[in-house]
Amino acid sequence: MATQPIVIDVSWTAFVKDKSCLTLKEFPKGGRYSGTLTLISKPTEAELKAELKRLKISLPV
Amino acid sequence: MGVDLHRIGTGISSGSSRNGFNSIVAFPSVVAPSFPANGSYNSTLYGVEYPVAHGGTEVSIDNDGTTYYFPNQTCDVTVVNDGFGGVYTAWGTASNIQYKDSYQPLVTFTTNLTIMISTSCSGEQGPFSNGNSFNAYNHNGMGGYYGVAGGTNYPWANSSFTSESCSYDDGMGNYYTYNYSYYADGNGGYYTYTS
Repeated sequence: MATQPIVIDVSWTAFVKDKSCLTLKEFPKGGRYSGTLTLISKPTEAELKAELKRLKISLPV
Repeated sequence: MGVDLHRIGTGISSGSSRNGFNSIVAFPSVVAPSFPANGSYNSTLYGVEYPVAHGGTEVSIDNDGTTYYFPNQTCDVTVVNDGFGGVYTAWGTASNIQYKDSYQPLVTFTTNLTIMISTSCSGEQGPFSNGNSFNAYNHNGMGGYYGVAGGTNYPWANSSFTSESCSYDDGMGNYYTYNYSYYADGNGGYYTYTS
């Protein structure tokens, strides 16, 4: 049985696990997510990267 | 009468016969090849796995509710001649019987993982392949085992599971089409966004 997904607002969103960002994605029309990662969303890519830097979360290689 | 070539070929016949032109065909006596006697020494194998069927012991491991058995001993053993040019392993001569060394790999169990996806317009879809989990074991040198590695390999984040296109009617004759793609999050989950 699939886990019911949560809604992702229009944003740039980082998928984070253990202080590492596994992927960073733009959701120009929103989206949905099902999983156990922590999501961090910001309106722009620059704002998101700044937030990840502030939280000391490494970006994807 | 023709010559029985098979019997000549095997070296167990001698004498004469007539060929198709009614002439006498003579052929010499052939001495059957001699082989080392059955049971005589041929060679020795060192450090080979000692099969359970021939007296070796085994170790058992449970995985997902099933018990698996693996030979856990090595030995030196003599290979002897069978008297017909072949050889066989005389397991009764097994010696220097030891448990397998602790660094030797025993088994790796791998389980393929799947995922069901709650799609935006087609309902639940799947299962889709979603990596695997594994547990690896080594012999411990005393007949048992220990785990050396375990974990889960998920697809890379951004790997696509599937995609779909959905059309909606707004009730006033207008149709809208949305494309949805479903991607792995690199941790066993998925995300989707509309394009």
